Amino acid sequence: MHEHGSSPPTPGKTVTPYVPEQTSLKEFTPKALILGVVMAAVLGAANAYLGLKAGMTVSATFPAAVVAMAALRLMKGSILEENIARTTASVGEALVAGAIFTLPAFLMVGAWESFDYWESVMIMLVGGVLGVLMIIFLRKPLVEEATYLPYPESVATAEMVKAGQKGETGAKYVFGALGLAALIELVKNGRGIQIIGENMGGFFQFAKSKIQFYSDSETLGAAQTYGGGVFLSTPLASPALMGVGYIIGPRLAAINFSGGVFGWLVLMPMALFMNGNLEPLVQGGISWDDVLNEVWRRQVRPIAVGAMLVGAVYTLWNLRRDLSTGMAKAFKDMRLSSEDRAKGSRLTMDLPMKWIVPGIVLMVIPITILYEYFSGDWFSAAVAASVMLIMGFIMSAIAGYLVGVMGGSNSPISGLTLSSLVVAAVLMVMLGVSGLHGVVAVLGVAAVVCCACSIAGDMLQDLKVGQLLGGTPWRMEIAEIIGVVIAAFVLPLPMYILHSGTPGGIGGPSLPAPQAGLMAIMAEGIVGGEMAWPLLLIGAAFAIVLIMLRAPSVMLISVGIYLPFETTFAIFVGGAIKALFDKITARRKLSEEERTRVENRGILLASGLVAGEALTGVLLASIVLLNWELPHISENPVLGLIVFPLIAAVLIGIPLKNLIKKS
Amino acid sequence: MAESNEKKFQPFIPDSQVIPEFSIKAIVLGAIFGIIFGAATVYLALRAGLTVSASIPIAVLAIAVFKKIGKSTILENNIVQSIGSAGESVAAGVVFTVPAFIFLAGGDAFFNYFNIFTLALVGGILGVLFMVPLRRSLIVKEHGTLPYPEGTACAEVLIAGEKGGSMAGKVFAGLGIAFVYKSLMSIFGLWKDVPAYVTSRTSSFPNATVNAEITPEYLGVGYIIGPKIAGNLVAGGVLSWLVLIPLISFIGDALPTTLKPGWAGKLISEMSPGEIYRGYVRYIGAGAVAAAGVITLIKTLPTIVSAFKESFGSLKDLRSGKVQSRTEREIPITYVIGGSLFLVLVVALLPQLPGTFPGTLLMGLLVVIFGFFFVTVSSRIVGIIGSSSNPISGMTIATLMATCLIFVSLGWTGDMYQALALSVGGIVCIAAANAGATSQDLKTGYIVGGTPLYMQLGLIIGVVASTFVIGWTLQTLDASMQFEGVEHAIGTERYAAPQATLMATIIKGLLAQDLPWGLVFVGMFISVVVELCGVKSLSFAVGAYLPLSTTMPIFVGGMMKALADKMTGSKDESEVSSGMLYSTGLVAGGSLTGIAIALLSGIPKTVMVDGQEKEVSLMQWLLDSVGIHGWEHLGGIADLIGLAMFGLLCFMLIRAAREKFAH
Repeated sequence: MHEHGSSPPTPGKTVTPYVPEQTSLKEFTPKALILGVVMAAVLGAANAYLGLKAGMTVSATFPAAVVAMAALRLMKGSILEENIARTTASVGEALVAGAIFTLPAFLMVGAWESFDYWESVMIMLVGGVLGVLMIIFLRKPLVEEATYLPYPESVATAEMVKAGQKGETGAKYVFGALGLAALIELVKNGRGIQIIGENMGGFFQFAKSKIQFYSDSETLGAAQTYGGGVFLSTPLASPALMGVGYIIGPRLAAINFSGGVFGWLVLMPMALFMNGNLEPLVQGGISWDDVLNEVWRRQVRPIAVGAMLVGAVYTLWNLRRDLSTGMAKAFKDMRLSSEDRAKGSRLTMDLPMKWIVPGIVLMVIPITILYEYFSGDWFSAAVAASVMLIMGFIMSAIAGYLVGVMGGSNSPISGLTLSSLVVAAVLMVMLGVSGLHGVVAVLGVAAVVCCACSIAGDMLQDLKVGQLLGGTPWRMEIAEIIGVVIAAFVLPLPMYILHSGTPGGIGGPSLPAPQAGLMAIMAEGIVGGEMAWPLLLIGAAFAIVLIMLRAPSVMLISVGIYLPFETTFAIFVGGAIKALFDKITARRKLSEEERTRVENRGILLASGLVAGEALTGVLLASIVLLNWELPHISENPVLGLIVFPLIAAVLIGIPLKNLIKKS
Repeated sequence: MAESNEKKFQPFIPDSQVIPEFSIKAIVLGAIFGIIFGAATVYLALRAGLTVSASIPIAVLAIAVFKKIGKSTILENNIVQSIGSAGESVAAGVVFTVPAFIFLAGGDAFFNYFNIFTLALVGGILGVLFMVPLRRSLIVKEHGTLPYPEGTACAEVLIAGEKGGSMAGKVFAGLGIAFVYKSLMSIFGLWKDVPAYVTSRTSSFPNATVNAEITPEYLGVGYIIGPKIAGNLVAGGVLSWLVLIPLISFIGDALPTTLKPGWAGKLISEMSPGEIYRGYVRYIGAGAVAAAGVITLIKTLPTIVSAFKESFGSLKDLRSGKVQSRTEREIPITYVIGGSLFLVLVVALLPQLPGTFPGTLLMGLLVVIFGFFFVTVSSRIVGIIGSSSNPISGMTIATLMATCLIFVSLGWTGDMYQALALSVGGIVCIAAANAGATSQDLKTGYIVGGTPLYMQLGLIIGVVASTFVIGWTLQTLDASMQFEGVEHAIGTERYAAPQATLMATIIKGLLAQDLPWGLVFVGMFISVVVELCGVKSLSFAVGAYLPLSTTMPIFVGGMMKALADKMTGSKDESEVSSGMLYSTGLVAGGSLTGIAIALLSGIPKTVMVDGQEKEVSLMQWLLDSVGIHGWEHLGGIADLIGLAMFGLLCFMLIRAAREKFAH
């Protein structure tokens, strides 16, 4: 490690924070907080629109970091103030993601006539605060102890922030790569000046081969022809995903991609092959792309949810030792008296226990009342609240783990929510709560859990950045809670306005809210007794196969099945670039010091790529809000292929090229 | 250089000492063991796609038998083990390829005793002969660098065997128990042989199957291959029977037409799990095994290239021209070349074999080229990683693919060329398998001080002796279901023959384009998924191909090994432990009893049913007259009784494994 602590963390080593423990800088100041809250509202509102329309949100960590850096430089703020401002600001996007994946489902099942402001506030507030409180228990095990987790987006953020400080040599790498990624995003985003297409793919039918088949040695029937086919696609030409793959390394990237291969090259062709009646649909004028999309949503994704349920339990089981020792430590630290706290290290102090437990109770009481209103009886409400607490904790831990493995942008919040929805729905059915009451109670649990695990992932990502930069955990935790409280009251407003101001409202053609649609279907299906249980159970059985194979991370593979093929493929390409890079550096026989330098440069560049694309994505999204139209030139996917060699050349060539110059 | 190395190493019986070695009694005993283990291997490999190395059990048995009938020298014991072990490896090579004739268009005619005999003989002897020029470099020159784990372990047994004979007791005990257990179960029908649990096809987990054929030979195999490989194997089985079959049942349920290949023209909604397995999942499994074989081969490619280069280079300094001492005498190179050419000509000229004369010369040429190449590769790879990891099936797949592509480019795509291509693949497979065993034996001989010439002659005798019985066993097993109305038992669930079916699938796919590509494609990517997770896919893929009832008891055997290791606290991977020897006994006893039952099943017996004469098998008559079959009316309890009996067998295995013998 470098003496200034300016090098990125290498898995398995202890972390030296950028701002040392003894240094006291201004940190928890009003200007940092106010800046953070304002950004949270703006970024949250922008993402509410994006999420309802496209079903995806853009990670707010990077834009928040950049704006905070710029603003605080003008106001002469410190790097730790920046840390607090960014932590508060990223809450907006995380909370909105949790809300838009679930709240519109209340409209879709007919529980709400119009968008209900106060119930929304309540769900977001309780879910968000619980997410923060729960992650406090998990900070020690998942951030301090788990040095094997790469935290790609936290590393990228920390590197970008450090590079923004004066006199940092890494700055040219981070900002160079950031500029490149921004340019690529500008020409590939449909809202920007689009020139290239993000990926090239299509449906390939299998050759219709003749088959003569036998029963033992007798031939049966006439030779027959085959249908079916496979969807093949190039990876997304996304510098950010490749950067993530580069940071997490070839092994994790391959594990994640194995899920993508299973979903798209094993399950999809099988579903198409066995569904012989899909082909007439296509002849009837429906495009293969639409058919594929439906098969993926209705058949493959439930399998992934089944696998994720088992994967989540198994991941917790594997983490049990880390979690229990880490949490024991956390409990001990939280019980310290205020004098002892003053003596202890600033860098390891969480909020004290006497605040957390009452905080959780304070959150559970109002939500139980809400559940009683939904389900119609107190017993069911109590069960729903306990399920919410337990699933909330489990899913927060899993969301945290996934943020550690592959970054917040790739964490499948909707999949985790679906898993808890299934558990809640089964319990409601067993309790005999049926009809709309049951559906709404189930959605109520799912919505709170969704907000909780979304915030938990975001909080953990920020806490890791804080660890790298030298922020104080308990101050960040308070900042996050303040952010959640304010965002919970502000952010239902833009959703309300969008719902009433758009023809068709939320759930209509212009704001389809796809994830919420899936939640509504699942909740109604299970409560109404029409759930496709076999798919869930098949997914669970597949997860058991993986466990028997001693596959490295069942959860990561299941997530790979759940995500689009192009996404996991692009992460895999990033991992492959890293593998090639490792091979080349190994062949060069560099000294230990040279190797560290070369590797750090690679991480700096990858961090820049991740940040650049995310930033431009948010900028372009806000252009849409302003109703500006940028010229649209072409969407040629072949041109998009240039991105891959370009990124590979940047990530491999630049770190090594400068080395040659020096030696 | 070679000489200096040789001088350094002092064999157990020095070069100068001449003691009885190639004696009549050793040859006769070796031939008997070769026949027994050859037949047992045919049975096991047909059913489970696995084989068990025979050298060590034969060495142990040789010591014990000679102790009873008079004295023997260590070199005689070594000759017995060399001759005997040839039977196992030739049988493996035969079963992996030759039964494919049954599945080829018009290939049925070639599945006769004479052809099986010729192919096995030619392949087996070529394996020994091609290995002669390689011995110097692989065994002598690289004595320090190539460990040959099985060969070295066998030498330890031979050297230790002079001291005590308690090891053989374990083998005999296992053999006896297996015989009694299997007779009581399969002939007297005292308990159910396949406890099973199948969910209904309308349940929420349709057609999910868990079953286990509770035979002693599977338990023993599982113990020998250990928990890791057994776990991978059963994971593949779980994928097929708890993921793929329920998935096909669910997705294909609404299909209004039959979907090829299918089974007996049934709709998916009418099919039983076994029919779905045979109609669809087998093709997926075949794709998985093919991809896994090729991946394994590609991963060993660097080793293959260097193995071939180094071995071939050392051929140059072959003729030292010195007077040879005893431990240097081997078959002269002129005989090797002459003998090989003669065998190849025999294959090309014999009219009974597939093909017509001028064309068969190409076949001979291909046999020489691929045969020598893969013999070289095989004999070195087993030196590095051991016989059990030898990618024989991958090599055969590569040979078949290359041969078929050559045939296609010549326009040889007719039915008759399918059998011709298989003949090439079969001989190469047998030669490569036997070369692996030969090199282990030569290593053993090198350590104990055997004369290479005698061992090589002994190996050829072993090949000849065992080939008589291999063809016979294969045909007996194949005919064992004719009274149940099935002409070829091979290819049914009872004798799945995974490798051979795969070879047929590849040949048909390449020469006749006669494949359900969709299913094969899906299977190939299953192996890719597993490899991406960093798990070796070959045993997993074979498991996906086999019935779960086969892999489940093997898995139990693997668990027993893990349990025994835990109880005895031993961590060494030694091949010579009491549990291992007992398991070999279980395998041999169970397999031989199985052959006896198959033999009885093939003999007709006329019985009177309601005054009508009816022809059934002798086995059926026996079952009807002595069978007890009380369990047939017990329903679910019968499954539990079966499991209890299997538990008893496991207990006896563990008890045997915990006993130590004097080394």
